[in-house]
Amino acid sequence: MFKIRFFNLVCTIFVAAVFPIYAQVTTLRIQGQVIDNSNDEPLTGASVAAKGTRQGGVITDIDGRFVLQTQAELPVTLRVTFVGYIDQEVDVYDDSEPVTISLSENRSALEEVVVVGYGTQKRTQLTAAVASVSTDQLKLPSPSVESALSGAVSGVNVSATSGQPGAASTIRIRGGNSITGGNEPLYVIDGFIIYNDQSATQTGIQNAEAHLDPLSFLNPSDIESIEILKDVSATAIYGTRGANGVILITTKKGARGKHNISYSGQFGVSTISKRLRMLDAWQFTEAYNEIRTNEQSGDLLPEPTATYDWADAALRRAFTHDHQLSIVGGDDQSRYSISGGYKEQEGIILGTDYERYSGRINYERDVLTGLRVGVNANGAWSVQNGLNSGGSGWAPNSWIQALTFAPIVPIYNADGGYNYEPSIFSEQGTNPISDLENVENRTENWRVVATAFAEYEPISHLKVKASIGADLNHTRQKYYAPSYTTPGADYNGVARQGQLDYRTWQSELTADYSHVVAERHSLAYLLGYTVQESQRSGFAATARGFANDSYSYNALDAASDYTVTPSSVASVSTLTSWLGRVNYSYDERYNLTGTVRADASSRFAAGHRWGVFPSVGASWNVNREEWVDLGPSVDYLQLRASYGVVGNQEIGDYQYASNIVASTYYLGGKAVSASIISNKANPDLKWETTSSVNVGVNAGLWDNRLTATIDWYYKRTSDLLLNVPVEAVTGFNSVLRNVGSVTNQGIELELNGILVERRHFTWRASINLAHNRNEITSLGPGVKAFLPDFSSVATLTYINPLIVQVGQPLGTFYGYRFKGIVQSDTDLSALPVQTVKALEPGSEIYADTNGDDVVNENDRVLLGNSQPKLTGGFSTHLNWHRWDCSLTAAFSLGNKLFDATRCRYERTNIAYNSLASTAHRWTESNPSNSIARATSATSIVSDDRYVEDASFLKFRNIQVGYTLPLRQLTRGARLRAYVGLQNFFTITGYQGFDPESNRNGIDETNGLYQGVDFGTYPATKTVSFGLSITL
Amino acid sequence: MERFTIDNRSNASSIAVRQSLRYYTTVAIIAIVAMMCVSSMCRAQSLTVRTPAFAQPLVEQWAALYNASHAADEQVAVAGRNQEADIQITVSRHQAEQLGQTTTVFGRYAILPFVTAGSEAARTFGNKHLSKSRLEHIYFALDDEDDEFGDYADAAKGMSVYSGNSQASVANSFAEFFGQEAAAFRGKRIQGDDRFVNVAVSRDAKALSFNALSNLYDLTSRNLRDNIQLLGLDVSRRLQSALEDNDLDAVLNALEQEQDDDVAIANISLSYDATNPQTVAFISWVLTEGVKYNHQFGLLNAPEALQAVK
Repeated sequence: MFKIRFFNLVCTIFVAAVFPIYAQVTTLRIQGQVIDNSNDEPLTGASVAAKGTRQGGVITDIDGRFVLQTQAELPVTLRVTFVGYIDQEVDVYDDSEPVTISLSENRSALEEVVVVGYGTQKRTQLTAAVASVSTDQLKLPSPSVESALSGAVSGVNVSATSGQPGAASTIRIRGGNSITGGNEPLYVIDGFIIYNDQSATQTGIQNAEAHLDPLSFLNPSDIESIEILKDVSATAIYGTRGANGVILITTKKGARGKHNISYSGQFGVSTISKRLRMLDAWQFTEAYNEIRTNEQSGDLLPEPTATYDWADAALRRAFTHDHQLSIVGGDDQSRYSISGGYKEQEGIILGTDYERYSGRINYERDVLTGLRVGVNANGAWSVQNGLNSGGSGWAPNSWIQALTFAPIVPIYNADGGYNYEPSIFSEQGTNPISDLENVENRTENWRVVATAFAEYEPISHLKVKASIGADLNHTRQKYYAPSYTTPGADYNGVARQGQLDYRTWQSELTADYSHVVAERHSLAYLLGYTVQESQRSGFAATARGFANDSYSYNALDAASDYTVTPSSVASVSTLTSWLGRVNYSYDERYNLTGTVRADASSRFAAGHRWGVFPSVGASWNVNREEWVDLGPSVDYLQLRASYGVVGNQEIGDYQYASNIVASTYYLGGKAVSASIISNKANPDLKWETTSSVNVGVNAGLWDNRLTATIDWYYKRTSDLLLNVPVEAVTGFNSVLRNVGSVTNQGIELELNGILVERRHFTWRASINLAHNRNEITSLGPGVKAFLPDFSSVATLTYINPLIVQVGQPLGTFYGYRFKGIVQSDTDLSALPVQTVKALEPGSEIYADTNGDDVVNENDRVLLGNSQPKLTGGFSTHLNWHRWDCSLTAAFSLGNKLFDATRCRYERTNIAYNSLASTAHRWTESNPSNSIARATSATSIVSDDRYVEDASFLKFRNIQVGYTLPLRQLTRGARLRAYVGLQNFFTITGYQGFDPESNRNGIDETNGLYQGVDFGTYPATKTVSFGLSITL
Repeated sequence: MERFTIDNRSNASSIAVRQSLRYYTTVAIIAIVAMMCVSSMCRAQSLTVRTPAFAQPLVEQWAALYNASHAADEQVAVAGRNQEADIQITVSRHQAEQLGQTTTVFGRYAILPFVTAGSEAARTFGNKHLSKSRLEHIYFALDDEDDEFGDYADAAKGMSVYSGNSQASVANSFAEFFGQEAAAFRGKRIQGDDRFVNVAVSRDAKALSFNALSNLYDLTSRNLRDNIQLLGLDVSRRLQSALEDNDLDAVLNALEQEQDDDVAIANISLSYDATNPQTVAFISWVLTEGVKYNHQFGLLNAPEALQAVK
C-alpha cells in the first residue's frame, strides 16, 4: 500500500512538473524595442500586436521596449503601428533574442489625421478644404498666434495693425466677406469657441493707441497644431460663425509613458526695419524761411548751429526675453501637460513695451472603463504700455509727433534733462520725447479660457461628450498725461480709467457614433447641442485738471474738471445651436459629408433669430480605383467638391432695436443730461449669409515626395448689414439693414516637397500661392457708392481716401489724378479751372477726368485698391546631423496702400517737420514736377501719388540651430541652441514704414477702412538667440 | 449469501511484478533527471560559443577537434538557446561594435542574392546580370534613383524583399556593402536566424532575398539547396562559370582568387573577453588550426593582416 501511494505520489509530482513546463512552452514571450529609423530614438507608445490573433497588443514603454506574450506558434507576425509612422510587420521565427523594429515616418499626407470641427478625420476621407500649419513652422519662435500663420497657409492673409509689442493683427481667410460686420475668422481653442473680437480689450478710454491682442493670452509655444477650415463643408458645423473661416488650435497634451521637463528661453534685440528720413535743421530752416518769405508773414528763423534728430531720440534698440517651462507626462490612465511662461518685450519706441505671464494646464484621466474626464485651461496676465493717439497739429499719435517735431529745437538741456523751453513749435514747452516717456497709456488684461469635459463610451464606437467652458476676460486701461506733456498741457493733466469685463460661458453636449458595415461602408454620425452666453460690462471715465501730477491715474477724484462724459456699457448675448453631421465613406474611395447647423442668436430681431446652415461635400480617391492607372509616379489623387451656406452674426448687440442712450446737451450754456434714441429700429434685422462652392484636388507624387493641393472657390455674402440713408423726417440719417452683397472668388495652390531624405540629411520645402478677387456686388437699392466716415481722424477726414462702390473690391482708393506741378512758364489759362487747389506756380495740377473744364470733387476717380493680386509664402527646412536651418518668407503682389503719412508730411509746413523728399520741392530754381512749393497751407487732398504699390517679399524667420543629445542625463534629453533673424529682410518699393501697415485710427478690423497707413508703429527686425533643454 | 474467494497466491505474484515495475521506473526517471542536471552543470563549465546557424557546423567541428586535443583545458561547446556565451561569432561591424569586446577576424563570407527557383521573382530577375547599382535599386527604396536603373526599382516594387532583422543577420553586412543601413531595405523583416529567411522566401512567389553561402549551399553535396536560385551577377567569367556550375568549392576558389566589386563579402569574426586565458588559447587555436576548415564550411579565408590576436 505504501509503495502504491509512493508511486502515485512520484507520478503526480512528475506530471505536475512536466505539464506546466509543457504549458509554458506554448506561450511565446517576445520582447523587443521599437525605434525611429531616422535617429534610433526609442518610440514610446507604439502598438505591437501578434497578427492574426484575437488577443490585444502591448504598448512600448519610455525606452521603446515591449514584451508580448502570445499563445500563437512560431513564426509569429508582429504588426507595429505608431501614429505618424508607416506600419511595420516582422515575421518572428525565433523568440530567443529581442526584436528591434525600426519605423519610418509616414510621408503620406492622406494617412494623416486632421482635426476638424468637433472631431478628427483622416485626410483620405476629407471632403473639405482643410489646411494644416506644418510642425516645422510651429517650432519657429513667433511673437503671437497670428504671426505663426503669416505665409504658412494659402489664402490666409495676416496683417499686423501695428508693430507695437502685443498689438493685434487682422486675419482674412479667402478675403473679407462683410462691410460693417466682423471679418475675423472664428477660433476654436481646445474646443472652446472664441470670436477674436478686438474690441474685447478696448474699454473706451480715449487716446489709447494700439490695442492689445485679445489672443495674447495664448503662448504660441504651447500650440501643438493649427488647422484652418477654409471651405463651407468644414466651417458649416460652426454655422453662424463659420462665414470667415475657422482656425482650430490644439494645445500640447501629455502622452502615455512620456515624461519630459523642458525649458526654452529666447533673447532678442530689435531695431526699426526702416527709417523715414526727415529734413535736418538747415533744410527745415530753409523751407520755413521760404514759406515766410513767400507769404510775407512772420519772422525768419536764424541759421541753425545744430540739428536734432527727434526720431532717433524716440527710437531705441529694444530687448526681448521670453521663457517657458513645461512638464509633460502620462501613464496608462492619465496624461498631463503643464506649462508656464514669462515674456518681456520692449518696443523700439520709448515708453512702449509688453509683458506677459502665461500658464496652461491640460489634464485628462481615464477614470473608469470608457469614461475619460479632463480639463484644459489657458490663461495669462498681460500688460501693454502703448502710444498716445492724437497729438498737436496733425500728428496721429505721439510717435509721429516726435518724428515730425522741428529739428532746430534741442531735445535735451545742457544738464541732460528734457528741454521744456516754449518755442514757436510748442507754446507750452512740451517735449515729444518726454511725452513718449511720461504719458502713461497702460492696458492690463487677464484672461482665462478653460474647459472641463467628460467623455463616455457606453458602447463600442459611441462617444458621448459633455463639456463646459468659460472665457473670462478682464481689461483695465489706465491713462495719464502729465501737465507738462502735449496731451496734458491744455488741461493741467488728464487722467482716464476704463474697465471692461467680457465673460463667455459655453456648454456643449455631443454624441458621435461610427461603425463599419460589410467592411466597406464606413459611417460616422455626430449630433450636438451647444449654448453660449456672453456678458459684457464696462465703463470709462476721464478727469482733468490736477494740482499735482504725482497722482497719476490713481485719483480721479482729485481732478477739477469732469466735463468729459463718462461712458459705460452692458450687454448680454446668447447663442443656442443644434448641429449634426454624417460622414459616409465607401471603401475609402467615395466620401460624402452632410452637415447642418441651426443657430438662434439674440442679436437679431424676433422672427429672424434662427438660421439654418446646411452644407454637403464629396470627395473621390481616384488612386483607389482599380480601373484607373495613374502611373507609378502618382501615389494618391483626391478630387473634392462642396457647397453650403454659413452665416455671420458679428454685428454687435441690440442692433435690431432702438437703443436709448444717455447724452449731454447744452441749453442756455448749461450742460443737461438727457436720454435719446440713438438709432432707428429694424425689426427685420437678420444674419449676413454666405453661400459658397469649393472644388479642390489633393495629390501625392513620387512616393509622396511632392504633395499638392489646389482649390477653386466662389463665395457670395448677401444680406450684408449696411447703414442705408433714410428720409430726414424719420429723425435719423440712416438705418441698419440687410441690403448688400459681396463676392470673393479665387484659387489657391499649395506644394510641399521632400527634396532630400537621407538618414542624416533632410531637406523640405513648401510654397503656397493664392489669388482672391473681392467685389462688392450690391449696396442696396439705389446706392452705388458711399464714402466711409473718417470724421474722427484729422487729415483723413479731409482727404477721404476710400470709397465703397458696387463693382469694386473693399479697400478701393478714391482721389484725384496728379498731373504735375505748375511751372513758372505754365499757361494757366490753358488749364481747367481748379477749385480743389488754386493754380499758381509750384502748386499741384489735377486731372479733369470728367472733361468739364473744372477740377473739383466730381473729378475724383478710382485709384486702385488694397486687395493683392497674389499672396503666398515659402518655407524650407534642412536637417544635417545635429544642425538644423529654417527659412520662412511671405509675399504679396499687386496690393496698394494709401500712404497717408507721406500725403501729410511730403508737404512743408511751419508747424511741423517734413519728409526729406521735400528738400527737392518746387522752387523757381528747382522746377520739380512732383513735390509742391513750400507753403503753410495745411489742406491736402488724396491723389494717386500716395497710392503706392505695397507689394513685398518679407523673410519672416531665418534660424540656424544645433541639437546636442544629453543621453547621460536621460534617454531623450537634449539641448538645442539657435540664432535667428526675424523680419530682417524686406524687399518692397513701398516708401512708408511697412508695406503691411494698416492704421487708420478708427477701426483697423473694419472692412470699410482697409488699406490706409497713417502713422503706423514701425515694423521691427530682430536678432535673437535661444536655448532649449529637454529632460 | 454467496461469498467470493480471491486466489491470493496468483494475485500476489502479479502485484509484486507490477510493484517492481513501478519502483524501477521511478528510479529510472530520477536517474535521467539527475543526469540531465549533471550534464547541464558540466556544460556550464565549458567555453561556449554563440554562432549564427550558417557557421554552427564549423564551430562544432572546432569544438570536436579542440576538445579532443585539449582534454585538460576547458571544453568548447556551442551555446544553447538561452545560454550566456563566452565567445560570439559576429558577422558585421555593427554587431561587433554593439558587443564592445575584442574582435578577431578569422574569415570572410560571401552574400549572394537569391530567389525561389521557378518563382515569379525568378522569372523577373533570374536571367539578368545584376551589377551592384542594379542590386541597390532592387533591394533599397532610394531617395535618388538613377534613371538608368529605374526599371529595376519599378520591378522590385512589385516584389517582396525579405531581410533578416536580428543583430546577427547578414543583412547588416549586405546593407553596409551598398553604403546603406539595414533598416533601409524594402519589404519584410524576418526575426530569427538567417536560415528562416530561406523558409520565408520559399513561401512567397514574389520573394527576393540574400544570404550567406553557407545558408545557400548544402555543405555535404556542395550544391545549392533545393529550390534556391541565385540571381545572375555582373561578375568575372570565372566566377560566373562557378556560379553556373552549381559548385560551392569552385565559387569559393573564384572568390579567393579574384576581388569582384559586385559581390558582397564581409568579415566573420570572433568577439570575446581577451582577459580570459582559456578563451585566448582557443582563439589562437582557431587562427592556426580552425581556419583550415573555412572552405569546408562555406567560408572564405581572411586576409592575413586581420588575423592578429589583439
